[in-house]
Amino acid sequence: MRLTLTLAWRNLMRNRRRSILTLVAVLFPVMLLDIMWGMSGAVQRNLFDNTTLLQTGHLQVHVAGYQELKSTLPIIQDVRPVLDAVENHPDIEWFTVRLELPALAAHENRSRGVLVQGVEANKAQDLNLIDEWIDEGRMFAVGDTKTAVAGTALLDHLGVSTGESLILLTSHPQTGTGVLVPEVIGKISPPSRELSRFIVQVPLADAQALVKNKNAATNVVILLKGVTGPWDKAIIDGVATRLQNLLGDEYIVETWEDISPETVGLFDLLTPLYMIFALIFFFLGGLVVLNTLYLSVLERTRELGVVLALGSSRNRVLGWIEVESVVLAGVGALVGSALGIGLVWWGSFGFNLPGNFEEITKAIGFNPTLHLRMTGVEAFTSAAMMFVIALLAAAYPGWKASRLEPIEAMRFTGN
Amino acid sequence: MSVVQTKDLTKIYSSNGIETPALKEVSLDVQPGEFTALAGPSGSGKSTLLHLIGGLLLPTSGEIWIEDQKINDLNPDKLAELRLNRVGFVFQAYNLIPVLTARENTEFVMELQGLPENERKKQAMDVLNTLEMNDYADRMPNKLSGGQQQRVAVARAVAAQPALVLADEPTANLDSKNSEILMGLMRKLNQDRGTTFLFATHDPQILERVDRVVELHDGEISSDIKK
Ligand SMILES: Nc1ncnc2c1ncn2[C@@H]1O[C@H](COP(=O)(O)OP(=O)(O)OP(=O)(O)O)[C@@H](O)[C@H]1O
Ligand SMILES: [Mg+2]
Repeated sequence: MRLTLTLAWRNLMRNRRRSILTLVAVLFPVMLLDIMWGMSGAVQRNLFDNTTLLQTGHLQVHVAGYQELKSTLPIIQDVRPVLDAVENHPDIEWFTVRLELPALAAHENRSRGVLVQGVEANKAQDLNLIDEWIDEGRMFAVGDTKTAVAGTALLDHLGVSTGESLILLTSHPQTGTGVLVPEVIGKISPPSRELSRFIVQVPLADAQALVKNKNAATNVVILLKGVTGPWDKAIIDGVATRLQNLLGDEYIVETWEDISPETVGLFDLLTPLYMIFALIFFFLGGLVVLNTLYLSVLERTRELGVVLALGSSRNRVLGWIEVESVVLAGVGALVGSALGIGLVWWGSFGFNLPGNFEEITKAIGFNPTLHLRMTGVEAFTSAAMMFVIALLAAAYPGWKASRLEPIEAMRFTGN
Repeated sequence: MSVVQTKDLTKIYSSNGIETPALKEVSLDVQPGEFTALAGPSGSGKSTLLHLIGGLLLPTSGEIWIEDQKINDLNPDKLAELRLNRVGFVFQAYNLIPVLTARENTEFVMELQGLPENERKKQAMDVLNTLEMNDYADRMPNKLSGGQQQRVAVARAVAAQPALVLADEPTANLDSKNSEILMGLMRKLNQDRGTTFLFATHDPQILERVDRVVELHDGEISSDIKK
């Protein structure tokens, strides 16, 4: 083995420039795939945050039954037992009560179907996220009543400016109708365009007044401890099951995946895209390795002839070429991994895409700050893939070398 | 037991439909410890005979025996094994592995055989000593003169103690002084270790120093003289 490694190493050092170029061709795909893993993690995290922090939470509790209500959540007449269960729950980081009512929003001669969301002002502030969406005005503070913030797209459609009032006619199948005329104090652009067209947020107490029940809610939105992305599925599912058992079948505990399956679908769409992209680079890297080894076998025809004449077995010669390839690919994969892991680590602390990209990501409702993330398995996969490709790439030159006829090979003069 | 025995060995090359008879029914017997040269004009079949004996070529007809082993119907892998374990080769030139030092080259065959490291080292240094190459053991081939390179090639051929060393024009690229030195050293190895040598050569310096000259003409043995 020592001889094999010595031969491989020294043969690679014979044509340093070519070996170094090959090394670059090998390290590049590994590094690139690492960065892609990192980006994929970052995008997943952003999508996840957008979905969970602003809309779905990691988990939601609502009341069972009333399936016929479809898109409208049934009303929890008394939310206090649920609050008792989630308060001081060891796995729960944060929770908030919402009361969502379908409504008609009207201003002067225009109107539109909207969703009135009663939210807890103090809890929304905890998250400190809504601030990022504010286009104009402010979010409501604790104690505000008869105020609302609403999607910019909606307000523009209705022709409402901040400071003006809006007429909300709510109607829930279980409670009948209600009227609220809040002052619009803020315009928001949530990450989802769709949401911007129909969201109106009011203080929870105002919404509860609309259904004439100060303990009413439609859902309790929960964020869990230790969850940073979709990869923490096991934690989320685990707590969901435990909470469901705790609450009993009067309630339904849903995970963000149940509530927003389209986000999960997006991940399934993105990952193969990255993979295809990366595979092209791996394929090209493999071709460069093949070319290098082929040339080097050709240049060494005479000495390979000697080696075969001396009695080296063909498998041994094939093995030498394979080891050469693996050493080359190994060094390349290590350097590529080091660079890739380093970059992903650096990017894991969060960075903003430069200039225009930031605008674009914001425009498509995306948090412009990316936190790269890659798992150990992913880093290993990048490096291992290059290894396998190097082995495959060496097969042809190695086979060629091992099939040389010693006498002819020793006579070989290069043409 | 003979080291080499051929019986009615015939080799006809055929390429592009042209048949070239290179050896015609050659029967040759080489005993252990012999120091023999195959002589004859260019194209007389010397190299062909050496290659057949060394298992690098397959005969058209006839038999080849190396010690107790009939080799003409061995498959390529078995032939490689035979070369590795029983035959040492010295070629005309360019036959050291350029990325290995003189010592590593000398150890190469033993390493392929799987000899333990200390034994390899000892044997290699032993032979390099005899060949007066010990001071150059750690040099790369391209830092050695042609004569020194050939000495390393001889060291590699004999270090594993093969039954037979085949040398095809080992002095062809050397000046007469270096040829003289190389021949003297091979003779010494032949005498000290009893290594059997079979040369193919036109070099009068070799022919002078061997015990037996087998002359080939048009693929046939025309004379066989033991001194
Ligand atoms: N691969 C081959 N294909 C066809 N003919 C060949 C081949 N090798 C050798 N020959 C022919 O076989 C005959 C014997 O060649 P060989 O090389 O054995 O001669 P030689 O005695 O070694 O000559 P030299 O002293 O020039 O080395 C020659 O006629 C040669 O042309
Ligand atoms: Mg010849």
